[in-house]
Amino acid sequence: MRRSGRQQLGESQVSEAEALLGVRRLSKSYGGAVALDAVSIDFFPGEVHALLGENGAGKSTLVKILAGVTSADSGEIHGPAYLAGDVAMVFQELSVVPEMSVLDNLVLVASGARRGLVPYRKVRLAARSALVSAGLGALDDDLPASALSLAQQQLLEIARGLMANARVLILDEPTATLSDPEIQRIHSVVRQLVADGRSIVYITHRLGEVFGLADRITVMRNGRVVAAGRTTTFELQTVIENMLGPDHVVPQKSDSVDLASGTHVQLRDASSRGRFSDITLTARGGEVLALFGQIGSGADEVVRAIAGLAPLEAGSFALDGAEVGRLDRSAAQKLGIAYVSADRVGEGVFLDAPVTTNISSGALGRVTRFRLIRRQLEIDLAREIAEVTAFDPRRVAERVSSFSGGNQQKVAIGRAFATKPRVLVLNEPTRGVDIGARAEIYRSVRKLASHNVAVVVYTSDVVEVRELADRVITLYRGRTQSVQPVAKVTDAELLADILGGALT
Amino acid sequence: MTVMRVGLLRRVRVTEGSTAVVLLTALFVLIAAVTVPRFATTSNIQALLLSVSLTGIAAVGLSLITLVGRIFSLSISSTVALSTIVFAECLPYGAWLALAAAVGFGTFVGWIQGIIVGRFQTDPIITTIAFSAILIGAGELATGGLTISRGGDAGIFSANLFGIFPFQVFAFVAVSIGIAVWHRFSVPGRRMALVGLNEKAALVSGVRAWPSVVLSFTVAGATTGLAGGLLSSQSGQGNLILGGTFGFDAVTAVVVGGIAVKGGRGSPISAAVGALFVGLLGNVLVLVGLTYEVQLVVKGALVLSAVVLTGVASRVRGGRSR
Repeated sequence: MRRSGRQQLGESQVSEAEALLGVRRLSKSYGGAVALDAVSIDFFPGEVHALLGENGAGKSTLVKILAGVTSADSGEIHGPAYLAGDVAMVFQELSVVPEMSVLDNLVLVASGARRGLVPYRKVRLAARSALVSAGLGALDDDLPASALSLAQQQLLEIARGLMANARVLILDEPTATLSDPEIQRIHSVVRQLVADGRSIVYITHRLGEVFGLADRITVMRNGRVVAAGRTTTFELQTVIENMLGPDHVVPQKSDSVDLASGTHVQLRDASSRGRFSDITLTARGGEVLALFGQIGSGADEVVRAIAGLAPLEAGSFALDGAEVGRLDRSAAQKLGIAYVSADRVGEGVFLDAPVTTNISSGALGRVTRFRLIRRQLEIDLAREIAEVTAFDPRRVAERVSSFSGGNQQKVAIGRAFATKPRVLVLNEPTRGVDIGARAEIYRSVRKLASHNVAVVVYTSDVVEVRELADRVITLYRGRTQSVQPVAKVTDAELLADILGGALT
Repeated sequence: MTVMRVGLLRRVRVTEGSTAVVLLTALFVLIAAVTVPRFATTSNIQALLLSVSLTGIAAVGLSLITLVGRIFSLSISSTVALSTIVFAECLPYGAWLALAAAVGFGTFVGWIQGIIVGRFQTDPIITTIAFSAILIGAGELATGGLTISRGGDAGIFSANLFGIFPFQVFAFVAVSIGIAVWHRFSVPGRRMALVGLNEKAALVSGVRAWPSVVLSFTVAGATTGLAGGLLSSQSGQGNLILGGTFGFDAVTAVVVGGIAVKGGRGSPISAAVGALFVGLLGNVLVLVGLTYEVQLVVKGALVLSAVVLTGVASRVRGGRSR
């Protein structure tokens, strides 16, 4: 924007160079949902460029286009790095192969280009220099990747991105699962990489680290760029306001039910080593309790423990005042605790089975007569659930794999509803679900809650807390930060809580 | 063009792999009846059904292991062999008791393997190979490798029911329908299907994998014991070399029947149809004068093409679901 004239900038003393990579009026939609709406951004060499926004803001779509994983509907991408194919992406999920050596993990990337034998000596040299750049120079590259710490694995992931000697490196939440000293390590490597003239696109939900690391910030919301500029022109509060938007309304919750008499679930001083510690909570029938925390905060592990999928190492679990000893998934189901997984394809639904089989899977007793499963009863049950969770009752005989993500999630939730639970445990119930389906899911969950069902939901999305929950518990690194009624707390306070020390 | 091809495969998938085999079998019977001279005679059809029945019984049981997502048991042959010995040893005390003993033996052997594969989460192939070695070794120790013939009359199992229906064929039909109905309509059968479809998703519904795995191995053991007992009843003798081809034939029947090797989808009845198809093919190959060796090559090729076809079908499906 200010390139004509090449004037000196007060704060940096460097003239702004030509952008390595940039996009102009980039748009992309999936079906009817607009993911990117005329987005224009430039990425300059020698800069860390933080890309911020809530889930669904369009960040991941943008970087997928930049990395060539998917293509845009319209708009242009330019810059020398793009023309040379010099963009590497480091994904959020670790993709290192734990059984293979550090070296072989790097060879995996290098040999992709050429088939046949791996030119080991040459690759070894390239791998060495990538490791040094990624701050792993002191590492024995014959070690298996599983022997590395989480931070080292993350750095190895960055080294993999460096193997092609890419000048633009996209890092998608590299610090989401790391602790402070480890984060510092990642930061120093990132600084070294930009000092070598690279451009780093840095996606993070930890707003605290942005101000220490990034040179430039772009905030996205609903597929648009809502704020952009040098980091020095931002403050934490303005970033959060931009992320959330002005028309962020609090929906009306159902009136309070008589909480004393109904179902209640109680965790007392529950701990699981390395995941969470000293968690005490009570969820009552009639209300939705949200556990709010980042990925890696341990909050998701707490809800898995309530569902019987992860053991408690210490503390107690009580349902309606009666203490429950060993709780595995099967025992929990018998007690009336239904679970909806965050991993929709992996464990949320039976993809290859029709809706009817999915819905009845946890409630086989409801579809049998004289101990035999009746097709008609299965169809009736599936239709009944379809009405509640808002998917098309005419499609109950279809295989779930032919459904969209949102409808698949409704089936996953329907599976839990069909069991007539006393306690419903949801783990990221709307991850990857479009806005319309999201609203329908919230409505059906709230309605179920009003029938004296205790709902416990883990989410990493503050909007979800707002729209779904009555009370919210924030977690940071496995510990409770605060317990508050949703109506009495601001989003900024909630975000500050889950970011914990990273804010200060 | 790609779109068209995918569309075609989709339609085939909707009609289920098993339906394709039924149609293929019917077509094959028709062609054989017209073109192969001695095919459509009562004695040939009877011989065909007899030859198919016993492997068919074993295949229907085996299909439960496949459906629960544990691929195959490779101890079918050795279980059949030992069951013939158990049957022959018990035959002096009565034919029905001997048959019950053979079934009981197979059930027990299957149950133990089920416990190992289910509870200790071992690889089913390796576990059953190891078990097969133990069975054969123990059998050698017990019999000294000799044929067991203790006398007694097993004539009722070679009698024809209603004049034309051999007992073994009756057993095959009854077992196939019984197990298929049980798998389709009973709660334990549904749990097996859920575990085979997606073990983690089943657990979310509170359905644990191991009881279903144990159950499938136990029932498969029972049918294998039944097949061994009936095999022995033909001669009244038991020998470790009996039943050598059962393992491969049962696997062939399951695969050709169109049951997905990765589990979940399909019905045990498909394995019965698969056994019928493979038997039919062998019968026709004999009638047109081809040797055993050629038959073997054809059977092997059949299994390969069936596996490739189901692989292609599931890749098309996988591509759509992501």
